[in-house]
Amino acid sequence: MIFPVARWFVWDPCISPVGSVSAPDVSFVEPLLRRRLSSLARMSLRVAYDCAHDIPNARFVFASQHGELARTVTMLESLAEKEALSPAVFSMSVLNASAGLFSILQKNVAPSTAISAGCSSFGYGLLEAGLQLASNPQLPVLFIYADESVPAVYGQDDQHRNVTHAVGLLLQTSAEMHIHCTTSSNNDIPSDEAQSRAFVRCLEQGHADWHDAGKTWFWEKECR
Amino acid sequence: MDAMKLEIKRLIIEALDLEDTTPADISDDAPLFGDGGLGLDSIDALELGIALRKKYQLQLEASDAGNREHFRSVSNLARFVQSHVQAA
Repeated sequence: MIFPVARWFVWDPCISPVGSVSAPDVSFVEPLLRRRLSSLARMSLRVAYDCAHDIPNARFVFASQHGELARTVTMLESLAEKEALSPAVFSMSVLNASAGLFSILQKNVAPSTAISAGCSSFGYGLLEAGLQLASNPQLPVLFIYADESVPAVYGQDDQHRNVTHAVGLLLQTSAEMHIHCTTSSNNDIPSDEAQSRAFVRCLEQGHADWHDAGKTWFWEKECR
Repeated sequence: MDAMKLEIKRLIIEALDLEDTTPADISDDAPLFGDGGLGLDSIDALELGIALRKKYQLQLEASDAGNREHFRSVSNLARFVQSHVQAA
């Protein structure tokens, strides 16, 4: 599979010496909508806006491994305390919350898709975006991946994979940069980094590979 | 009554995550919902109902035709809550 990448943006949190985490600038979102944005939605919309603010008819695919899991935890805690669920939290707890917000923000009525596929959510989400472009090469496709560490209550420590960041790619047939993706089966030790970070390494350095669940993903950059 | 209005404004700001809004920004008689006022939506109405129930044990019925009037402005809400608190 070949992905023509016309634009790409990454948002990474900066952690200050006192441990506070920076938030992305989303001042382009009007205040009444902005107040409903989770930290995941903020970074998703930041890179989506950077990639496609001037392309109102782009189709878009949003992918995340854990999505708005933090909101689900908030609701489960309310239920455990026999409190009423917050309608605002409930309405924004679905996987396609950011995709919906993006369509409202951009007044973009093109089809959108939300994908979650375990720790390979980035790879399969990008595959979906690439296939959408192949099915209709005239219209660009925006691909957004964002994820956050799993809430502590799950007792699953994924800090070492450094998953919290967002990546946006604009796929367009006229792009000069092409990313070739191949996969193969093997039993290599699972990679220690998030799949999306391996892909960013390819964008920056020319190639990268990533292993999990008996599969190796390999990406290579070519500039025409 | 002014104390109650201020209390309601603080409740609205807190319950609805109105970043960058202060009680002074909300006028007593401006419409809370739709255009020409605070611009709140239907999710805010539900959220506000839950906050009022939690703080004042106010029981709101979805079918109550009076809700629209009670939720029109800060003044109306303050009057409604005041009458409920006094009756309780």
